[in-house]
Amino acid sequence: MGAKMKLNEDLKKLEQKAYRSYFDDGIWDIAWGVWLAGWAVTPFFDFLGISRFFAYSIMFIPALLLILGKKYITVPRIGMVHFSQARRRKKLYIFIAGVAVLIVTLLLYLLASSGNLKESLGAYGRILLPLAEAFTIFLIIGTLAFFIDFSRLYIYAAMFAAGIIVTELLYPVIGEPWDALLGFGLFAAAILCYGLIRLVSFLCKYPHRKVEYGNDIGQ
Amino acid sequence: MTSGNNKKTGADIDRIIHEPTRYKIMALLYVIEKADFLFLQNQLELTPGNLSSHLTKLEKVSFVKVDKHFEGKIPRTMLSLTRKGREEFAKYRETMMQMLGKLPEIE
Repeated sequence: MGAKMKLNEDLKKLEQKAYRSYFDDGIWDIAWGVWLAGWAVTPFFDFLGISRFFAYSIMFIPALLLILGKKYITVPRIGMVHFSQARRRKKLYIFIAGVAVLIVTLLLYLLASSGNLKESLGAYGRILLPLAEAFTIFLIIGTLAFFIDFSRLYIYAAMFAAGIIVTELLYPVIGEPWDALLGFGLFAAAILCYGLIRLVSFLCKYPHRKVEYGNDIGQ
Repeated sequence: MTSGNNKKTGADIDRIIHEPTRYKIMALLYVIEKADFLFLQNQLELTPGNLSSHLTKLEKVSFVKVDKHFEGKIPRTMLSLTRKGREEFAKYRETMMQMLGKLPEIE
């Protein structure tokens, strides 16, 4: 029984290693860094009098980065793989969790930028509302991390949640839009730096192949 | 060869799968659905020539299906286990587990 369990565990580890290799490129990290950077800079749009619709569209840049990055950077370098049906079934949950992240983020952004709700809730509102926002965002991004099976995303979820609280703490000290720039910007910069380091090491490790091998199989 | 009480012996081991590199190829293809040549090469850290020669052997015994096609202008070689390959790999693992299970514990 022990040997059987060990062998099954080895196969599970092999599948996980293959799956997780798709996160070695740093593109997910960069996308989340950009997402957080979006939170840091969007208050500036209001400050500069630029339409909010432009600010919302920034939130779609990470999705675009992921799609294009995987297609033009990752797959040509590490190859293409189709995972098991169980993994593919999870894609639906990932999609639902991803849409939930998008909707909740936009709602939180609207809530944060209106300010009326906080005022109406009084002193408690200023403390409880950011905590509730931080908890919600952590819960939803954490759920996404669970379905994607991407452990660094738990850390990014915590950083995002911390960004909300730090921004709120900085507001009375430095005011808008500098509170968000510092509160989210520092975390975004850290994630972006880490993502870029991973991307560079990925590009060095897996150079682009001009020749497709494997055509001689069976000859 | 299987003994009367259905215990496996060394003679039951599939020699094609028993080779370490081919075992790794089969194991990886067993846990995923399919992958291209480049993915297998990177995951298993093999040279193209080495991987190609092992895949040729696995294809000859119909354990691996090789699908060569073009995606736009890019040629792609997708590899997957055949039904026979899956069954033989599962059988191989079962044989090995039974054999390893029979070994006495080291004090």
